[in-house]
This record gives sequence, C-alpha cells and structure tokens, in this order.
Amino acid sequence: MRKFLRNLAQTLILIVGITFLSFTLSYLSPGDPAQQMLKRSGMMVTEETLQKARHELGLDQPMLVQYGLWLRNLVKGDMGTSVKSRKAVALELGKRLPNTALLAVVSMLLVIAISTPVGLLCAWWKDGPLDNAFRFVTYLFASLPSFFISLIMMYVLSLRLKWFPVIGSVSVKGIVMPALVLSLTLSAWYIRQVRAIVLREMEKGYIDGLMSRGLSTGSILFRHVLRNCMVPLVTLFGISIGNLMGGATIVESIFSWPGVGKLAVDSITARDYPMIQGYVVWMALIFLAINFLVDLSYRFLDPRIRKGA
Amino acid sequence: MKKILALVLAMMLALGCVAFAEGASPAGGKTFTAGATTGFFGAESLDVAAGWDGWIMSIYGISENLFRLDENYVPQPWIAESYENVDELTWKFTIREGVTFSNGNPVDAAAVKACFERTYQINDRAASTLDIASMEADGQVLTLVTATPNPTVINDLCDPLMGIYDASQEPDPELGVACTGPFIATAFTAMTEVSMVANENYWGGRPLVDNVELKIIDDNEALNMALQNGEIDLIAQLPAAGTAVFADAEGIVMDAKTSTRANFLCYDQNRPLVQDQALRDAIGMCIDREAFAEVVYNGYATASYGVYPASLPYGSTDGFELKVTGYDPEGAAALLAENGYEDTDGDGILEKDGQAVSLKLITYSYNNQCIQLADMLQAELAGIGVDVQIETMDVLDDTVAADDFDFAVMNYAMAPTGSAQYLISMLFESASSGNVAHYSNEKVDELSNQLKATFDEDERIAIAKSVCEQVVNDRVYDFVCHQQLICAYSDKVTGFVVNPTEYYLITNTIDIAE
Amino acid sequence: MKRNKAGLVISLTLIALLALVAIIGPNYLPHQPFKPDMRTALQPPSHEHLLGTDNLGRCVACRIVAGASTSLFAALAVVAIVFAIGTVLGITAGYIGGVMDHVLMRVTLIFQAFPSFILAVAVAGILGNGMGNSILSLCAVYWTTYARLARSLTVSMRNAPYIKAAKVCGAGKLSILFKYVLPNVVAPVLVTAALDVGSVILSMAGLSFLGLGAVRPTAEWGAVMSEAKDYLQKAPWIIVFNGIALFLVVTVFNLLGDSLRDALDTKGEI
Repeated sequence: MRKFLRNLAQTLILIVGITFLSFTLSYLSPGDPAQQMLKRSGMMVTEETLQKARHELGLDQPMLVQYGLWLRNLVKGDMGTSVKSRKAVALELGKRLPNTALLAVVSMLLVIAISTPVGLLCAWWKDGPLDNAFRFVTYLFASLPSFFISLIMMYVLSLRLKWFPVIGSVSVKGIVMPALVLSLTLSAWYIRQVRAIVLREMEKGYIDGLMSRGLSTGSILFRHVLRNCMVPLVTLFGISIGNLMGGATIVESIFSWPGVGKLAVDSITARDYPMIQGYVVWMALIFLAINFLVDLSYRFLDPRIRKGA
Repeated sequence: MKKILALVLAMMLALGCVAFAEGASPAGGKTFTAGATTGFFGAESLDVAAGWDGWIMSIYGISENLFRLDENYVPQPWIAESYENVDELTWKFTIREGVTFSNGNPVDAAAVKACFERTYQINDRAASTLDIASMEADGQVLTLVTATPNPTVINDLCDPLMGIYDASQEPDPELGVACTGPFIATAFTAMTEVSMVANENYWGGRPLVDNVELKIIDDNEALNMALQNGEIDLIAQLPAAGTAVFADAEGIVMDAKTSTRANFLCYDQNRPLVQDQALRDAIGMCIDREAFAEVVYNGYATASYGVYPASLPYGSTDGFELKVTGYDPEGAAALLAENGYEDTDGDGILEKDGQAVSLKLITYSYNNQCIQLADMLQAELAGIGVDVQIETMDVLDDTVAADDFDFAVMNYAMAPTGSAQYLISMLFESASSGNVAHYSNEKVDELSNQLKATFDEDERIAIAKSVCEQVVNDRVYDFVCHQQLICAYSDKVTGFVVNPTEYYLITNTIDIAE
Repeated sequence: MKRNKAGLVISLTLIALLALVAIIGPNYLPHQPFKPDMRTALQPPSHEHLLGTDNLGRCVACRIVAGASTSLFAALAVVAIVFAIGTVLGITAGYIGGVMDHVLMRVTLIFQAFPSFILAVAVAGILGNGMGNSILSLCAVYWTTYARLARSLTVSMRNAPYIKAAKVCGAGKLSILFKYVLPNVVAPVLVTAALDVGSVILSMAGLSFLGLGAVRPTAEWGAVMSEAKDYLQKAPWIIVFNGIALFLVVTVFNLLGDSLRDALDTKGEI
C-alpha cells in the first residue's frame, strides 16, 4: 500500500511536469493569442484593444500565474478553442479519440499476436533459417521511414494484390490497412525485443530439466517460458504504446483514418497551436495512465513483487 | 492455450466494435463514391451561410442557387424559372413551382427572402457579393432591389453563398440546413467525409443513384490508388501529378476543362525592393511559363501572359503591348544591370542602392504545383543574382496581413461566377481588402467603377480588357498559367460532366453501371 | 572477437566514405542538384542520369549526394548534442547525488512521459519548420536516455576502489569526474549514440513528411521522399533510391553500433 501511494505521488508530480512542459511549449510559440482573438471577432487591432485583450486573456500576468490559470481550465476540461475550426479543442479531440483508441487496440492485439510466437520461435531456433529470415525482415522494416512503408504496402497489398482497401474508413474493411501497417512496423521492433527477453530466460537452467522430462517444444515455450517472461513483456507493452501513438500520426494521415493523429498533423500544417497543445497533453496523460496500469499489473503477474510489497 | 483463446476473443471483440461503428452504412441500392483533397471537398459544416461551406455543399449536390452557370460561364435558370430586369436597381425573379426543401417545405419567394436574410446576417462575405438594399416576396415572385446599379446580379446569384435553404428551421448540429438539391446528407464528419441519399422528391427528376459517399483523401497517391482499386468511382479536381497515372489506364476516363483558376505571383507593394517595376519585370522574364504548364501540369494548363484565360470573352491579350512575352533569363539579367543592380560585394547576390536583393517568397504548403513554381523561381532567380527564401504555410492570411513577405505564389479561381468584376473588385481595386499586394493604379480604379455601372456586354468586355492591360504591365500581379479542372473516373460512370466553374460536381444524372 | 574488430573496421571505413561523399561530393556533380531542367522531367534511370530525374528534371543521383550532408550531419548533430549534454548532466548528477540527482531524474522522467515522436512533433510544430528546430526537437526527445545511462553508470562506480583511491590521494571532485569517471562512462554511452543515429535519421524523415524539416531548397532525403511519394507509381526511382540511400546509412550506423558494443563488451550495461 505504501508503495502504491508513493507511486501515486510520483505520478502526480509527473502530471504537473507534463502539463508545465506542454504549457511552456505553447508559451514559446510564435503568434499573439490576443491578436488572433481580435482578428477572429473582427475587431480593429490597435495597441489599445490589444492591451485590453491581453489583460482579459491574462497574458500580462507572469508566466507561472498564466500556467496556473491554464491548469485550472484544463482540470475543468477547457483546453481552449481551435484556431482552425473555432470549436473547443477538448470537443474535437474527444470526437476523434475513440477512432485512434480503436486503431491502437486492434494494432496492439495484432502486434502481440504476431510478435509473441515469432519472437519465441526465433529465440528457440536462434540463428536458424527462420531467425535469419525474420532478422532481415524486421531490420528492413525498422530502417525505413514509416510513410514509405505505408505507401509500399498500400501499393502491394491494396493496388496489386487487391486484398484490402486503400481508404481507412471506420469499418472492418477500412481498419485493416492502417492497423496492419502500424502493427507490422511496430512488430519489427517488438519481435527483436521478445527474442532477446526469451533468450535471456532460456539461459536459465530449467529448460534442460523440462526437456529431459520429455515435454514438447510447444509446451515448454508457450507454457513455461512465456509465463516466466510475462513481466518484461508487459513492460515492453507499456513502452510500445508510446511508439504506437507516435506512429499513428503518420499512418492515420496517409490512410485518412479520422483519429487524433491525423487531427494533430492537420493542426501542425495549420499552425493551430491550441490544438497541438491539447493533443500533446492528452497523449502524454494517456501514455502515463497506461504505464501506471502496467505498473499495477506487475503485482498480479509476478507473485514475488506482490509479496515484496 | 487459454491465453491464445483470450487473444482471439479480444480481437473478435475489437472487430465487433468496428462492425458496430459501421452500422451507418447505406441500406442498399446503387452507391456512387467520389474522393478529393481537402481543398475541394473540405466543409466544416453543412450550413450554406457558414464561411465557404456553401461552395462545398453546392459541389456535394446538396444546395442549389436561383441560377446555375453553364460550361461557358453563362447563368441559366435553376431554382428561379425566369427573371425580369425592371430598372437599373430592381430585379424580379419567378421561383420555380413545385420545388420543395428536403424537409418537405415548399420553396417560395418568402422562403428565399428569409434564406438570404439569414445568410446576410451570418456571413460578412454576402454583402460584398451582392449588395441588396431590399427584398419583397409575393407568392412565387421575389423582387430584389440593389443598393447601386449592378449589371452582374444574375452572375452574383450563382455564387454558392447565395444557395437556397430553409431558414425557417434551426440547422441540425450535424446535418445542417435543408436544401433543394438532388442529394440529402445522412452522415457528416467535418473535413473527412459525407454520406448522402437520393432526394426522392427532387424537382429535376429522381437521381439515378441511391447513395453518394464523398471522402477526403489528402495523400495524392492514396487517392489515385483508391480509384485504380475501384474503391472510389471518381476523383474530383485530380492533382496534376495524377494525370500521368491515368493517362493510359484501362477503364478510367480523364476529362478536363479550362477553369478560371490560375497560379499567379503577387508582389507586396509595402515592401521596398519589389516596388521596383524593373525587378518585377525581370522576375517575370525568368519564369518558363510554357515548361511549367507542360511539365508540372502535364499539359493540363496553359501558359499565361495576360490575366484571364482565353476561354473567357475578355480573356485574350490581342492588341496588348506586352513587356514580357517569353522565357528570357539573359534579358532579365540585362534589364537588372541597366537599372543599377550590381553585385558589388561579390557574394553572387545583386545589390541595389547598397541593399542586397534578397526576397521572401511564400506559398501554400499543400499545393504541390505552387511549391514547384516556387522551387523553379528560386533556382532561376539565383542564376541572375536574386536571392529567394521560400516559406510554405497552410494559411497565408496572417503573413500577408503582416506584410511579412516580398512576393507570393497564389492560386485563385478568377472568375467563378463568369463575371470579370469579381477579380477586379477583389484584387485590383486599391481600396479592396482582398488586394493583398496593396496594388494601386488610379486608372484601374476608375475603369472598375465604370465597369460596375455598364450594362452593355460589348462595352463591359472592352473595359475589362483595358483593366487587364494595365494590370499586366504594372506586373504587381503576374499570372503564370491557367489550369484545367481535371476529373478522373471509372468508365462505368455515366452522366457526369466536368463543369469548369468548380461550383458543381454531383448531379441527378450521374449513374454507375453495375 | 576478430569478427567484431572486422565489423568495426568495415563500418568505420564506410562511414568515412559516406562523410567524404557528403563533404566533397557536391563539388563534383555532373548536373546542378537544384536547378530545374524541365526538358528532362521524370526520366527513368539512364546513362545521362544514373538514377533518373525528378519532377523538375533534376538528377536524382546528384540530389542524393547534395542532400547527404544535410541528412547525415543533422542526425550526427542531434546525437553529438544529446551525447554531450546527457553525459555531462548524468555524470555530474550521479557523482554529486542529492537534490541535483533527484531533480535531474524527475525531469528526465517528465520528458520520457511523452510518447517520443509526439514530443518531437510538438516541439518542431510549435517552433516552426527549419533544420535548426528539427534538430532541437529531436534533442528534446533523445537527451534523457543519455543522462539516465551516464548517471546510472556513474552511481555504480562511485564506490569503486579506484575512485576511492583517487579520493584518498586528494584528487579534486572535478578531476575525479573527468579523469576517472568520464572515461569509464563514455564507452557504453558511445555505443548507444552510434545505435541512435539510425533512429534519429528516421525520426527526421518523419518530421520532414509532416512538413517540419529542412528549409527550401533542400535535397534532404526525408523531405525529398516526402515530396516524391506523389510519383510513387509513375516515377518510383525518386523515392526508392532516396529510400535506399537512407537505408544504407541507417544500416552502416547500426553496424557500427553493434560492432562497437561487441568490441567494448558493454553488453551487460545496455
């Protein structure tokens, strides 16, 4: 329990840090919000009206006070107004977040479904033909920009083989390509990590014992080794969620997937700072929450940690 | 094993969620699907009066106007059956009998009046489009009085901002206002996609397809592949690079019409360097207009040495005394040398009166053709000793308003309503807020005012051409090429016509063979 | 052991070769990499243009060479900056400990709380496009790894016998830090740096794709690929050859990292 509370306190400090860093970023952004507000409302921009608007927006306050005001609004769910669509940032993000979440969940499940068995098998037959083949493939995927991979896969899988549609509409058919690209690029990294974790586990003596007892390879790998690797694998999961969120920006915009990643990319080209800021804060907080859950899950996965607490 | 089972179950659950989200898909019948980039399909709402959304709704086939421009930019009756120009200020329109809004309400003069009133209240662009002094509704007859004599009332009424919708009903937060067009929106995601069904009671005859899906796809090659793959039936306003993909593609038709859209340079007259006519002329001589049209547009554009495209009655440059007639970098270098430009410090950049000729060029980040023109200019001008810094941005407005540029590559539809007055009032009049270069020529202002009060068509053409000659030789705005509106579509599509105005796309005549 | 040495020699030779091409290559190009020549637009590979031409008729091969310096040195700059800053901060905090250590660790955690590419995009997006801003944004992402690694290595050797011995001999804090701690920290951090070059290059390409990369005119590979994607079907040579160049550089640096790791035998620490 004490450990849990300490975790919570640390998380709170992190939240303050995350919001402060996000705030500082847009504090440094070019452009004067007061001027933008005046222009939007069609008022004359004079030095006098500017001063007034700055005062109303609290822009004449010291930075820390401004941060406090901003944080208070953030807690209330008010993240400002998008410069581009003139709608509330929270509303726009909220509308598209389920799409990104859906894409992320499907991709992550695919990643686990692909990487765990492949990683295990590559480790088992270390340096064998399967391992070498996958080493080459994963290396190729890990050494090319994701937009290039997206387009090549679109060209091969959609245009040439006609397996999946190009357009990523929110439907069973439409989710395949973006989820596949995301999960394959991430799997390239994941397989190597799983392989390394399993190799480390296999250095332990018990495998020989199990083999001598006549257990099948499959049973040893999937029942014993996999179970013992659960904690590092879950940690891996926590880290890779961040990669997934980052990768989603590019993949979503190529496949026209209506998620927050595409929204962020559109906002960057439009220099829509409130939207970029809102996006960054949300993504960081979600990432943090997921990792907090991952931390919690250790207690259930590994009895040693539970006892130690 | 249990874990694998759990994983499979979880995946099925996730896919189930997707299937659930898909629930809104069309119920059945023929579906026509089209794709385009944000520039052509991107609406923020389905309210005719909001921003530029009326334009997009007209493209969607949702909203209609009193008049419609034909392929020669001549207004034809649409929701209005006929009109009468009573005197210089007064116009009488007879609204077509039997037209209803998609919510069933009938369209009469009072409905049109209420609609315009709401639009004028919400959108400040309306008053500058058509200056209405008063309106009167009597049955199907709408009497409209303008504030000043206006010979282009009928053209102005073709602007999709003047689209007809039912103002008696609060707009739906998602599906917007009820209009009269062949299709009715059933689902709308701003800047992403719209789903529509046929308007069963469409006054012009029931549409031949049952559903229309329009999608925004901003990656050009993804857009092309979607058509090649048969996921969409049509690409509207195909980006020029795509023409090569479809040039010899089987089963795909490409159709193009010269539009009034042009790429042009605009020199900010509040910036000292580009105030010099000689420098602007020299830059004009460094543009290989023919090569730009031929290569970057793959021939789907025509080089311009005037203002308007030759397809418009006032578009030719016949009889003009032109200073720039072709690509001539040597001539440009000589012209600059004659006018006191010299590289005194040997850094490869010319100086004039001690100041280095270094110019900031801005253009749109999403328009590949404009960016390529900027790249060409940067390299060409480096050859004659003019340094160019390029900056690309999504929206130019703020930078333009702050006079934070020397020149810009821009892209406008110049005569969307067919009237020459549109561009002259917006870009060339010294007092216009749209005159982003702060161009000022007394003669142009005078001619523009004259044009506004002239009703005779031949006289109007002569005046417009005089304006063009002034503008071309002042070269504060330099028109580089006129592009075509290109649509590529499956050969299963019938009844589709490219209308060069960019106002219309989806009609009731579009059909698709199974 | 011999194989690893060979890997090291090969990768270093290749990198030297790359650097040579990037530095002096642009002086020996048969065509101007930035000047459009519309007559030769979108030509496939030929004798005249070995790797074909791009949409403005520019030689793809020449542009790859001209862009090498930007692509390569931007990535190296990022790694060099984070290497220097991270190591100095890390060993100082690790050696001094106390409040400074605590604060540094908190700050790195805050930076790491952001999904990395999203942090880069946000920093670059808010600062605006330009190579300097891209470099800065990637530094914001990568510095934490180095600070944490250098710090943990320092802490682990704080009580090592030779450090204690130096203390007893009356060596000053600074001299201990730079004479005894730094040399032992540098090797493993260097391996991380070599392995990071590839990932920095890829992140840079990602930023270019979003329009946040280099200022025009540029032949930076990521930016060129991002523009050439519209010609994937009709002129695949532009994007493919730039992709191959990028892939080769990433591979060479990964090879360097791997062989460095083996040669320095720091496997356990990373």
